[in-house]
Amino acid sequence: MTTADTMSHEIESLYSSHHSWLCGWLRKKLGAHCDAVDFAHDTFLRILTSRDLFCIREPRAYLATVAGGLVAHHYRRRAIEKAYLDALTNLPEPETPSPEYSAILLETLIEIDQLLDNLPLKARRAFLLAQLEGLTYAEIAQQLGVSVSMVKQYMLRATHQCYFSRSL
Amino acid sequence: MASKNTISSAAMLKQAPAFAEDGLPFNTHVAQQASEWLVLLISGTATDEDRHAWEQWRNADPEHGRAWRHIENINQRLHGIPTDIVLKTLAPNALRNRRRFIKALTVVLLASGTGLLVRQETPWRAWTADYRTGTGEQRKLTLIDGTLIVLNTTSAIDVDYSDTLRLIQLRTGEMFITTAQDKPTATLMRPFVVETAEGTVRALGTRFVIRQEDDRSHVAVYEGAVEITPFDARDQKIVVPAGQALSFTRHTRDTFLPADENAIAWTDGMIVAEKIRLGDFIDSLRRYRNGYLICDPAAANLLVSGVFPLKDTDSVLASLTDSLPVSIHYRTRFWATVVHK
Repeated sequence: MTTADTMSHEIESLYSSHHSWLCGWLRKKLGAHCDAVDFAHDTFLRILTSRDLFCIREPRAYLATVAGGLVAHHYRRRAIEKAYLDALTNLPEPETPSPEYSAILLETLIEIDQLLDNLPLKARRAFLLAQLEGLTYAEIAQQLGVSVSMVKQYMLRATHQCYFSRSL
Repeated sequence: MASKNTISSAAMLKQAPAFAEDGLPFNTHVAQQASEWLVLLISGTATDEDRHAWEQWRNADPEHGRAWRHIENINQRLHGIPTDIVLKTLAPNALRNRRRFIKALTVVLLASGTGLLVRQETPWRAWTADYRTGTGEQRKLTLIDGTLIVLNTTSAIDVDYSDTLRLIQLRTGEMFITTAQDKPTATLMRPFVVETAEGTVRALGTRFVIRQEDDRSHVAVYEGAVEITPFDARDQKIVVPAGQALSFTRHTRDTFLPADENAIAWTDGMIVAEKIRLGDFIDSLRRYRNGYLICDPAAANLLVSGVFPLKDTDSVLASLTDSLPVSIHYRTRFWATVVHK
């Protein structure tokens, strides 16, 4: 049997044994909502396109982890969209971006947010202030109310995270 | 806290290998060096000597050069967006903007410096609540003592009944409550209390609606009365009688307003408008709809009247175009703008 055959066999049995359980699990988490089926679908799609199908020992725990991650990602995206829209409404009229540009901005923001995933707020802000505003670490330290050496630590952590920690 | 912010090289080694856009991973050591160079170069205190040393490092090994190009590629994307939008969206100034972005419940988390702001947004918290509704959904519940609750769109509550207290925590959104007489076997009538981010609302045999807003709670009483205790002004109990509505913060209250019967039409899945500004109507409708709904300021002062079903906000928008000189522009299914013709 080829690897591809084994894969599709694995996913088939995973699907038939646990799909309805996963839908139930999601429905319980999300409330009575049709989203559950969509999230379950996305969960299996995600697993199909990942390569770690062979090392699943606890299928339901695994499915719940992947599905939970997708739901969290979904809410996170919504939160960014909302924050972005709030930021836009505060802009003076002439600076409001065109709808097309606006859509690109939003996608880029979500991409940057993923790069900075899991960083504490102060580390994020330090990194963005240094990179985008060109503030010195002393200025950032003052703004965040922390020491300069703390800013350096934030910067190291954020830099490593942003450029070199993305698991693709 | 300090240990959390300290970089542990062991932790870094455990992270997934970094990949460049050509799909090849970077050696962890090279990645670490490149990060350190970048942090030095943009510090604002780098000397010519530092820059010279960095150039030597970059040219010393093709892998160093590749790591640096990788940094520059990502920087190009970083710099493609207006700075203030990035900052406001992804790393808002906590003190100035916190009310806009987070609920009082999450302030503690922010103050202790943990986690991301977007992680603390209400939907995520709501996800773990006892009962919740999605956008556009209403849900009726009967609690064990016979109390009826109708949850409005995007709402979440925890129910915590004990021997001495019937407590509901409103985490987000809005609910309509018809309290029941406590079961006769109870030796004492257990008080029925709703807790919001701003204070507690004690029901005195009643039908009322309570809504969590960004920085305040709103209560409207239709039967009986409620007693409000703001968290930071516990000695100032406020009684709201039937027919009255009131908003309050943790330490103060707004002025009394009449309780509007139309405001609870949502419990029947309806939204009722009587000569309401279109801008305000769209603000209300937005709560029931996924995605963005924007009203063109030029159309905001048109007046809307009618009874609309909340189940299908697309058809509500479509019906607006019949009665008003407006049209609906859909950029995507989730991004609609109401514009003046």
